[in-house]
Parts: sequence; C-alpha cells; structure tokens
Amino acid sequence: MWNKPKKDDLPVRLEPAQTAVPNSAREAIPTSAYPSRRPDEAVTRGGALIGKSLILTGKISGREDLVVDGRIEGDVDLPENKLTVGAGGHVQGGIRAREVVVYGTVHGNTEAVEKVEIKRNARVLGDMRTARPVIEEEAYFKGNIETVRVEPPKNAVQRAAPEAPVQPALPNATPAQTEARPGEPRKG
Amino acid sequence: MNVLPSRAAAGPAGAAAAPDSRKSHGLQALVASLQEGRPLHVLDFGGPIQDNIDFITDIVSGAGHRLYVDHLLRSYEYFFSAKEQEEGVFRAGRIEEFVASVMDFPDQSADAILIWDRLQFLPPQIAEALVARLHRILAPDAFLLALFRTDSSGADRAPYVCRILDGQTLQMREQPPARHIQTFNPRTIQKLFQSYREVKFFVSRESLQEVLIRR
Repeated sequence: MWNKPKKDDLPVRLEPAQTAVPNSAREAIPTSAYPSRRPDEAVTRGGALIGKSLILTGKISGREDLVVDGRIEGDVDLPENKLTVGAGGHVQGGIRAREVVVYGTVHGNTEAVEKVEIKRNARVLGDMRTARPVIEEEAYFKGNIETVRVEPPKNAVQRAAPEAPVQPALPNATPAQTEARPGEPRKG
Repeated sequence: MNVLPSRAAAGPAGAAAAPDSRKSHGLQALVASLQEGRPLHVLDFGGPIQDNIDFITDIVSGAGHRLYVDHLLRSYEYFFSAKEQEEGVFRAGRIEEFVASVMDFPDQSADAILIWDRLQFLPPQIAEALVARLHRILAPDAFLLALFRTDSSGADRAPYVCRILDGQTLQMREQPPARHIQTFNPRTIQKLFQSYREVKFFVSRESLQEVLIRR
C-alpha cells in the first residue's frame, strides 16, 4: 500500500541487543577489568547507576540491577537483581539482592540468594548470608559468614510481568525472606 | 609432647617461596570437635581465606558452620595510630577498646577459634589481653589453635597465610610485609595460656610450634 512506509523510512529503534553487552560476551569479560567500565555501562545493561558524586539517604528497593559508585546511607533491597558496589562506592546499611559484588566499601549485613563476591581492596564490615561466599584474600572483611540455601523470592517467577507494581520488599517479604533479613543484629 | 611429622608435601624443588603443605594434628583435633551434627560458631582471626571459608561453612556434611572472619593484624593497624604501633605505648583504656572492637562476642559462645600465628605479631600486653578475652568467649572444652615460631633470631618475619586443604592438612606460606615478631618459647606460651585447661604442643622441625589449647 502507498501509505505503508518503506523499510528504510522506519524510525531507527535501538534494540537492547544493539546497546547492551550480550550475556555471552559479558561472561567473557575478566572480572579484573570490571572497575574500568564506562560510567554508563550500568545503564546500557538495563540497570541503574548511582554516580560517584551522588549521596542517597534512605531505603532503595526495586527490580533492576544497580551499580553504586556514590554513597548510599540506608538499606538496599533488590531481591531479584545484582548489586555492584564500585571501587569508590559506599553502602552504609543492609543489603539484600540476588547477587552482590563489592569493589568498594560496605558497612552492614549482606544477604544474597546466589552469591556475594568481595573483591581485593574492598572493605566490608558486617555479616554475610549467601549460598556462595567468595572473598579475595586482599579484601578486608570482618563479620560472620553463613552459607545458606536461601529460597528465591516467590515473585521471582513473575518477572515476565513488568507492569506489576514494585512492592516494598522487606515488609512484604515471604517467611523465608524475613528470616534472612539483612540488618539482623549480629549475635556475636 | 606430640611431634608433628616432617613436611608432608613440600613445594616443587627450588621454589623457595612455594606454599608448604603439612599435616596438622592440631587442626585434626579441632576439626574433630566440630563434628557434632549441628551448626557451630567458629572464629578465624587469620583473615578471609577462601579455602577456609569453604571448609568451615560447608564442612563435608554440608551442615555449614557459622564462621566469623577477621584479619587481626589489619584490624590492629586500622585501630592504633602509627605512633602507638611504633612506640608500643598505649594510653589507658585503648587496649580494652581494641579488644572489645575485635572480639565482641558473648561469653562461651565460640565453639572453636583459629588464631594462627597472629598473637606473635602483636605487642605482648595486647596479646595477653586478647588471650584473656578469648578465654571468656570460648565455650568450655572448645579448642583454640595457635602457631608460634620459636626461633629467636630477632629478625622481622612475615605472618603465615594458613590454608585448610582438608581436615588434617594445612598449606602455609609467608605473606609479606615482614613485621616485628615477639619471641615465645614453650614456657612463655604455657604462661600465656595458664588460665586454660590444657595446652598441647605439636612441634615441626622448622621451629614452628603448633599449639592446641583447650578451654
């Protein structure tokens, strides 16, 4: 039909695959190269970035990956996603995420369903509960480590429904989540 | 006195800095004490070592003990000023503050403690205060594993990184930088742990004494 636009006339639409690093390629990136990432990498990967000049006070929760190069004073709750604390990043508060990688500083308890990785030169003070704790020797870590099989959040299977409202995670946590809640005072 | 066998498996010939694997009777006894079929609380003051974390938190049965990790020497360096460390003079209350900051645990709450060789790299008054605190937080009949180098050359030495390979084997290598080291012999070690119920020595031929202390 004459009104049908030609293929070349269609507005250019960047698909995620054109901007984001493919999963397979991301796997191939050595972890040591990670700190030298471009500042906007988190955004191009579909995550969020808290830049190095930003200071946030209060609780953060949501359903996307987050890279912290600035400072957060409060709990971070991303039960289905990955939190990366960059080399200059600082989190003062409890963390709950699917996966946590720390290059910078964390003062608070951390819980991750899959893995917590503390890289060399990172500084972490607080307890850790995760299925897989990984701490490099040059890192400074002070706290309890508990290897647990944490059940993934029930709403993880509902990821295909992006219109679902983001719930405040901690108050509505499942019993398993509540039991493993970050910020729990250390017995020791 | 029990004597450790000589090196179980030394590193490759000619590689002087290669890690040294050896059988550890002290570790063996300590690990045996952890087989209670319930999660226990273990304290490791040697700093985060991935093998040790894996071994303790997912110990064979998968029961998973809770492991507290701290690098005692780095905590000491963070806490005290360079001047305090250099002069070895601490104003009143500073040592108590430090002990409370690194060993803030309820009495008799720890089921095993790995202190490795860390006490030997601290000023004597701090080592004594820490040993007294460890006595309080260790559960009755629980074990503490310590290492002491008995050579008295006076030269600075690098602390060991002690890696648990299995329930009876340690891999050890010196981790620079070298630091001032206090001299201990069996008599001074006995005196240091005199409030404990039992002090058992295992000696290796490299003048390294493994000491297993029972609360």
